[in-house]
Amino acid sequence: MRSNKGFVGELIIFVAVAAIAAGFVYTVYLSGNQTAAEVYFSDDLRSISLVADAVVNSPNCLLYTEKDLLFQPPKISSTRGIIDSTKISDQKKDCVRKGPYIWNAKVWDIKKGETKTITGFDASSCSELGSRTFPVLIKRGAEYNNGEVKTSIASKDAIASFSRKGSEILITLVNSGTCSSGFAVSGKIVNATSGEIYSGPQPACDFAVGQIKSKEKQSFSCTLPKSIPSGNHLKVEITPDGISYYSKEYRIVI
Amino acid sequence: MFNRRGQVGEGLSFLLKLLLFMFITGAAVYVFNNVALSDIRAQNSARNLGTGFDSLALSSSEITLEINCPSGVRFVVDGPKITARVTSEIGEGFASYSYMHEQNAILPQKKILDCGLSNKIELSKSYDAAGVPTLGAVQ
Repeated sequence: MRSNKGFVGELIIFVAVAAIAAGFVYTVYLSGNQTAAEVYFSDDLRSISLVADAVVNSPNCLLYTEKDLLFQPPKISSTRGIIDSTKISDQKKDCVRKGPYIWNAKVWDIKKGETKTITGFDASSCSELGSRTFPVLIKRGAEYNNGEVKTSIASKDAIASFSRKGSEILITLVNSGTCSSGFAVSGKIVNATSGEIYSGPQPACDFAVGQIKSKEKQSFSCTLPKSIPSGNHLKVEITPDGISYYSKEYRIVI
Repeated sequence: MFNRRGQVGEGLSFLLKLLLFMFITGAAVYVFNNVALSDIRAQNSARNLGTGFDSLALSSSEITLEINCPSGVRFVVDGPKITARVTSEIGEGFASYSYMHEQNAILPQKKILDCGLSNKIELSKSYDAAGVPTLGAVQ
């Protein structure tokens, strides 16, 4: 007959081993999650600096450029930090594009005491993700005035999560950007390898999602057609209103 | 009294638990390496290529950059978006990156860049006579 003492001892060892193993698996899970979160965070920080720099220092935006006709074809010459006063207008609000980021810029001519703004987003519906300020020289004809450019960045983005019940796919959209925004959602069945659109019936997964406030979510569902051959995925693309050149893509195994 | 049979039994039982613990630990490390790390690798690769494209937008002159193409990675460059896929024993690592570009830039058409074929990717920016920039990516 087994003694109670032996049984309790074994039980304690088992509980200890199970606790250590569970703790380890949880640590691995946490570390994986944290790494992913850090990657997104550092991407956001880097993108703010990059877009802000590009607004001031890219030839298509505020940077002053000259065609150097000594070369054939002519070369474009420019100096970082020298901006063209004639380029400071709302027409430039889309001069550089990067993912879900949009921007406003305030140019202050210190010598003239004049401030001009370029409005890429409405500050009443967006909060600022970050901003950068650059000292510049503003070229006005033959004159160079000391000035400053402050670029504020906001974002329009969403994260989707998916769950499936039979042939119904539930899509939950979280507005992960800093602006209230509507979103266009498009769902298509595609070949998992080539990405080509499946020639058979497609799901009714195209939605125009109304305004979602920042950090809030909205759920909706769509129904998959019956008997889809294996080797196909459901490709879901989410495009924020106003930035048609950017979309976030998900592939769901069906 | 000294019970050798009981001691052997307890020893074996402890060994089995140790094996169970090592199995769970090994499985966790294996899953982490294959699932999480392949995703991280895909993210890093996509970001590495993407930052190359990002820097093209800041250049006012024609420029060519050489970017490392890490083995096991397959990129798809399609307009302003780069996706990277990394194959692993369990599933696949996947990441996408939206690079910075000028509004009027002519972007690359959909193109697959397989790092199994070459370990370098050449990014370029050129201007036409009207000053419109064209971006390119070749292996």
